[in-house]
Amino acid sequence: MLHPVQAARTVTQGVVVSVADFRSFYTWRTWSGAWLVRIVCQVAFYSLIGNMVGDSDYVIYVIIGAAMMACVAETLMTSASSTWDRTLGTLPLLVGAPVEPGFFYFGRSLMWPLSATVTTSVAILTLSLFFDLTWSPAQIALLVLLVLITSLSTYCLALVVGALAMIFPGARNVISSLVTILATCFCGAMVPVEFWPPAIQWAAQAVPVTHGLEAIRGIEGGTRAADILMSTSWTVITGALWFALSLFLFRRNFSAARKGTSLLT
Amino acid sequence: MTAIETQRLTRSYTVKGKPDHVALDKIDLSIPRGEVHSLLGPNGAGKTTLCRILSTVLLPTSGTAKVLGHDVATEPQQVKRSLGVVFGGDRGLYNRLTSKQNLDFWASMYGLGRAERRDRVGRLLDRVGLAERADEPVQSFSRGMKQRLHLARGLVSSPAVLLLDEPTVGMDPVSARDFRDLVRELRSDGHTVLMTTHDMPEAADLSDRVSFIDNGALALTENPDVIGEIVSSKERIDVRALPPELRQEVIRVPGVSTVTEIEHGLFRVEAEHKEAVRGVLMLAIEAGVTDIARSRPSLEEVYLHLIGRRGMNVAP
Ligand SMILES: Nc1ncnc2c1ncn2[C@@H]1O[C@H](COP(=O)(O)OP(=O)(O)O)[C@@H](O)[C@H]1O
Ligand SMILES: [Mg+2]
Repeated sequence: MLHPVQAARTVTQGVVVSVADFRSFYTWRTWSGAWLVRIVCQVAFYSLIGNMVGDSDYVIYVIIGAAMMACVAETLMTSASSTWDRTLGTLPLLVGAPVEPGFFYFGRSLMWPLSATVTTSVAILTLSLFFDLTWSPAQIALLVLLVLITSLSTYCLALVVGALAMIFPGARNVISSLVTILATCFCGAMVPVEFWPPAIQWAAQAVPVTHGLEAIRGIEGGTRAADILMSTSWTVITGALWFALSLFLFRRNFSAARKGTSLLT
Repeated sequence: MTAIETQRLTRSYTVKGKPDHVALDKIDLSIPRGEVHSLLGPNGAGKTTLCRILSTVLLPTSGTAKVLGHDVATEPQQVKRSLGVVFGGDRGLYNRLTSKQNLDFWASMYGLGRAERRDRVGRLLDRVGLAERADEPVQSFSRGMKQRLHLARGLVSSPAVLLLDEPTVGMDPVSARDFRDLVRELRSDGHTVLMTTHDMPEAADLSDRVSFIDNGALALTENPDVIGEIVSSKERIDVRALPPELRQEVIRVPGVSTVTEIEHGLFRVEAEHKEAVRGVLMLAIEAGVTDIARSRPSLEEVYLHLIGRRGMNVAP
C-alpha cells in the first residue's frame, strides 16, 4: 500500500478533484480580484491597529503575523473539503477501493495551501510597500519558500482536523475556526509566544506555524542563517508528524466505516 | 473455484436507542465462476448490505464471505483487486469532473498506469455510449447517463467478479436494453456477475440462476425456468374470449382444476396433466376459439408465492 508510484497516483487524483473544486469556487478573476484583495485588506486592517498601539517594528510584526494567520485560515478549508466525499456518495467507493486514504486526502485539498501561499506572500509584500519594509530579491525568494513550507506543514495539521471533521461533519466549520483562533492567540501572530504560560508555550511548539513565523521573521530581521534553518526544520518536522497522524486517522476512519455505517450514508 | 461464497453470513446494524437490526441472517450463497446470478427481493431485504459486505465496504457481524477464495474480512486487499461494484442511483461521482476524469480517477486508484488507463477509459466510455460526452462535467448528465458511467466505473479494473446493485432502477428503456447486452457480453467474457434487482423479466432474461431474499434470509436459489415448476407443477393455458357455455364444458374436462378470469375476457385454465390440456384445446378449437397460449408462472408469481402477500414497492 505504501508503494511510491501508487502513492503518487493517489495524491495526483486527489489533486485533480481539488483543482476542480477550486475552479468551481473561483475563476482567475474572482480569485485575484476578490479573494486576494480581501486577504490584503484584512492584513492591512491589522497593520493599522498595529500602527495605533505600537511602533513601526510592531507593525511589521503584525503584518507578518496577520498574513500567516490568513494562510492558516485558508488552509483549514481542508476541514470542509475532507467531508465532501461523504456528501457526494464517493466515500463508500473509496472504502471499497484499494486506496491508502491519507494519500488521497493529502491531494484532495491541496489547492488551499497552494492558494494560501500566494495570497499570504502577496499580502506581506504589498503591505511592506506601505510601511517602508524592503526585501531583497533573495529575501523575497526565501520568504515565498518559507511561506510555502509553513503552509504545507499547516496543511498537514489541517488534514488531522479534516479527519476529525469527517466524523463530525456538522462541526467542520466550528473546528476549523477554533483552530484558527487558537493559532492566532498562542502561536506568535500578534504577541510573542513567550507572553503565555509555559504549558501553552509548549503546546504552541507542536503547531507548525509557530516555527514558520519565527523563520519568516528571522529573514526580515536578519537573524543568523542557522537559526532560520532551525526554525524551518521544526516547521517541517511538526508538519511531518501531523501528516503521519493524519494517515493514521484517515485509515482509522475507513476501518470505522467498515464496522459501522454512519460514515457511509 | 467459486467466485462468491458466503457461509452463515450475518450482519446487524446498531441504531441508537433501538435493538440491533439484523439485515442479513445466516446467508449461505455459492456462486460459481462465470455465472450471472440475480438476487431478487423487496426493499429492505438486505440486498445492498450483501453487496457492501462482498465489496469490503462493510464488515460481516458473523459468518464468512469469500470472493475468489479470499475472505472479505481478513484479505480485503485481494478482494478489492478482483472485484468491481456498482451501487445503484446517481450518487457517487465527482460531479465537477468530466466522465473521462471520473474513470481515470478510479483507474488510477486501482493501480493502472497512464497508457493502460487511457486505453481502457476510452474503450469503456465507448462501450457505455458516453464517448461523445467524455469531456463534459458529470453534473450536466442525466440520471441514466450517470448510471452508465457508474457501470463503466465498476468495470475499470477489469474485475473478474462484478456486483451490480439495482443497476437499472430509473434507467430509460434504451439504456436498460444496452445494459442487458452489456451483461451478456460480460458473461461471454467469463465474468461472474451478481446483480440485485426488482425487475423479474430482467433477472429471468439475464441470469443463470436466481436467488430470492427477504428480511435478510435467503429464500431459494434456482434456475429461472425451474422456479416455474416449483410453484405450479400443474399445466396452465390462457384462453381469450371463452364463451360461458364452453367454460362450463371446460370445467367438466377430467383433470381441469380451475378456470379463472385473470383479466377482462382472458381465462386461465389450470390442469393436473397433459391429457386434460389436450381435452381443453380440442374443445376450444372445435368451438372456433383460437386465441390460446400456454403459460408459465412468471418469476413475479414465484416471488410473490415465496415471499407471501408482502407488498412489492418498486421505489427507487
Ligand atoms: N446504515 C444503516 N443503519 C441501520 N439500518 C440499516 C442501514 N442500512 C440498511 N439498514 C437496514 O437494513 C435492512 C436492509 O437494508 P438494505 O441492505 O439496504 O436492503 P435492500 O438493498 O434489499 O433494500 C433494512 O431494513 C434497512 O433499513
Ligand atoms: Mg438496496
